[in-house]
Amino acid sequence: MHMADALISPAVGGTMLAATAGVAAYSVRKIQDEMDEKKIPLMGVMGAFVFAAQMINFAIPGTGSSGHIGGGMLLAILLGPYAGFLTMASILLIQALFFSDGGLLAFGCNVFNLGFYTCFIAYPYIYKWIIRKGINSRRIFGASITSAVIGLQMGAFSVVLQTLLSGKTELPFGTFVLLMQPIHLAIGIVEGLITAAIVAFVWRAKPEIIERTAAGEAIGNISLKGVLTVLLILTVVVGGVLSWFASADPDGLEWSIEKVAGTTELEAPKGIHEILSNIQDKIAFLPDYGFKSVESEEAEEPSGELPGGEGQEAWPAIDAGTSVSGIVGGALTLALAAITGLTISMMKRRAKSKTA
Amino acid sequence: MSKMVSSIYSIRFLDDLAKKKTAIHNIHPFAKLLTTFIYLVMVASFGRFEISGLLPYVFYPVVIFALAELPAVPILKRVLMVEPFIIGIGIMNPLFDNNTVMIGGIAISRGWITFLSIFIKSGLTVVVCILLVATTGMDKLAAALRMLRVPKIFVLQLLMTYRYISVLMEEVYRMQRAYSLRAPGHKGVHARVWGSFAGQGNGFERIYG
Repeated sequence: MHMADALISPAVGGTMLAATAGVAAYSVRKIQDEMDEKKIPLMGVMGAFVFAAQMINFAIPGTGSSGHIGGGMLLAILLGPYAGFLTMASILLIQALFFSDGGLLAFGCNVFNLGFYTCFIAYPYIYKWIIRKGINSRRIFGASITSAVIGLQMGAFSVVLQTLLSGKTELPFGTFVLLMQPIHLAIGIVEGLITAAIVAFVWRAKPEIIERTAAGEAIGNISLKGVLTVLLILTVVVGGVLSWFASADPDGLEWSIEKVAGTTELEAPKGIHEILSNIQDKIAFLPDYGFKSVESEEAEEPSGELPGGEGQEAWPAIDAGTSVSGIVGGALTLALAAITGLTISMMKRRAKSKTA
Repeated sequence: MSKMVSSIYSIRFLDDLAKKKTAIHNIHPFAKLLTTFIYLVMVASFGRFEISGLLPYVFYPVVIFALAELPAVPILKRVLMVEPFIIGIGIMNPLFDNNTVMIGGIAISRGWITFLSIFIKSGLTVVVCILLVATTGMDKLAAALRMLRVPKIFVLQLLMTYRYISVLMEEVYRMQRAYSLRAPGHKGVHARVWGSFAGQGNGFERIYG
């Protein structure tokens, strides 16, 4: 359930990056207080451990298939919420960079979806609440499964919201929710069971790890100020994103209406979107042809176009001629790109053979 | 299991590429990080019906490929490996948007256009991230993060995780191979040993003491 760069808009990606940076900065400040020299290597090992554990095939009893874990809840339980969140962030960054799982722009979304809900909501309010009367195997299982399921449900719902607010897919809200939540209920149960098994094992082998973490940030110890700060950030995020969206579409969350009505583009009238599209217009080699609405096309001055830049008109007036030239222009662009690359390589090779 | 091998390989492969010395490799890591990020924002800001506007963005990765002397085939293979997920989400578009549009005399569902747009975007965004790592490497990227004022604790932790990943992945790979040799025909680790299998694999005691 990693969000990809291709599925989000810069506004959503940027807002989530900012929110993640806020929570991460807060977490860094919190762990600095309780920092001993062992904590950073411990976080590193745990991060790598979860990374490797994500690749273990766990046979799911009675189904004949196998599952994997995400590890957000496991990190929170083994390291505590702050170090767990930071470790999850570094795992996701490495995944984005080296395995193209997620992306840099979607990094904030992913850290939030997989790290925030598990570490800052499911862990303190569900896991800690269930084990508040002391740890035993039964409570570890109950607490791990419940918190993993709820953490993942929130993460999945968050994926739905981010995707829809970005407006890159056609999935209607209801369908998407009905698709995501049940799947992630099943995933959450498996995740919870595996997490519980690992936590129970670590607890038996090295009880002090689980107990120290659990004692470190008891439910009363998660400061009110911290929670308020996070809530404030969340409010700004949700409020900002929603109002941005609401201003784009007066009907609020009725995505499907927009489709029925035939409006093709969610035009955001102001804010970051406009700035970005302005920059984009200036930078684009072949500006201005997509499928823009008639108004915006009229409003804009035709800027200098490179060869092959013939555009397409707005949806209602599709002209076969311009469409074909658009396709030809696209093909020419790609061919030109390929030739550029090959020329540079050839020149480099020649330069090398000369020096050799 | 093969996923683990390919992951270990993937890290080493990108690490090796990052050690090359070309004009692109010598550019300051901060500049590369910033350029990549701006590029991503640009690509992501295109609307969902945009295709032709996205095509010129192919130039940037192509030029980097050529200037940094990177092997195109293995990197593009990696990009294709990510596409199934994008296809999974994007393939819904043609199902939900059946409005047709005539392009060159052929009726095409509008959903396919949005799908193609997502597909291209995903290819572009994935490839520039790989190029960033392949021309920079983790250590220099960490330095760039420090310049961005990312706290030292986080960067240190990131580098530690990165260092330990290959150690632990090799360990887990060995364990899983040993397990599968002793439990032929099993699809994965049996539920009874979930905890002890994964818990033992954390290598925590040996590395961390």
